[in-house]
Amino acid sequence: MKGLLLAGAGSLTCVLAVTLVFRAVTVSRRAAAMLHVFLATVPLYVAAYALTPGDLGWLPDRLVEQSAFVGGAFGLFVHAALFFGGWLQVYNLAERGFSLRILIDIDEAPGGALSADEEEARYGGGSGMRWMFDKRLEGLVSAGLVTRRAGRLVTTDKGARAARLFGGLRAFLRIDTPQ
Amino acid sequence: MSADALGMALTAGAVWTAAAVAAHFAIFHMVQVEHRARTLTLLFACAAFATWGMCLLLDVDRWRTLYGMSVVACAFLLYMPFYYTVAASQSVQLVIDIHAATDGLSLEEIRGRYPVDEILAGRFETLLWAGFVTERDGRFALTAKGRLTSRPFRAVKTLWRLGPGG
Repeated sequence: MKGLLLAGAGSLTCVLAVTLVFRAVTVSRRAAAMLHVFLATVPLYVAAYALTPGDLGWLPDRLVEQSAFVGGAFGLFVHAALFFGGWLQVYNLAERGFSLRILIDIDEAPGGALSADEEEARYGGGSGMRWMFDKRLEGLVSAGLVTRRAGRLVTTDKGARAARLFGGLRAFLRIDTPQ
Repeated sequence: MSADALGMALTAGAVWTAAAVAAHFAIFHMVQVEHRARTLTLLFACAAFATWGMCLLLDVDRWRTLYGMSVVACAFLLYMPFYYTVAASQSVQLVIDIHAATDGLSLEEIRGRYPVDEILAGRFETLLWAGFVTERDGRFALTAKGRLTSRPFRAVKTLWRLGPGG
């Protein structure tokens, strides 16, 4: 139980620190900043686990783990899952989610309804749908997956490997339409 | 409480998580699944249930059983974003398309392949099908489910001072 409780505390500390950073400073690479904050909480978790008693001073005996290593590793796994599968995904969805942006645009529209044409113009705070594609292409270039050559976009070696991997997975899982 | 009980519970969780992932690959490969997210969620729910059953059989106490089920829950949290990257990411689709073209693609060719009005129409269709929006006279409005999704993220965007995004 100690591992779970400390993982929960670590996760809350992480999201509080992220909130403080995002509110106090203008951050250009927010996902990287979040990762740094999470990584800073890992040694804090390990230190807290190592320095506190097995029962945290109040847990009943039945909730105390005999193997500190297994209990600690389990807590660390939970802490990592809450970050990578939780907070980081909340950020990704809020910052890059296509469907979510549409829902928010409709929610914010006067009268609470939009036609497809209106959404096309309003998308991304008025940037428009074309901006969304340009943003993704720029992201691929900056990630080193795609490069510009003679006015055309071609995949780098890294991009070719990613295309083969994801293309293979999509074909194997018979994914041909987004949901 | 023995250390073995914790080890057994965590192992059961890991084994059934692996089984859920294997079943995902097998089922999706063999059958054209219509409700993909729901199916995947159901597989992980079955894995959690199986973990509970195995812990019951192994006489593991309820707290360690809960830990074993937490392994499945955490794996689900990690697996779903991976799956959605594979299944729905537009950036991934762009890389695949650029790679598939012999000489790459120009910006005009990419814009030609992805007409924004068709993409938007397709996404509205998905949102309608999933019950996030309703349509009336060509205009889309949020359902209760759509509002329930939109509002917390609007709050997060405000709290974290994120831009419009999308």
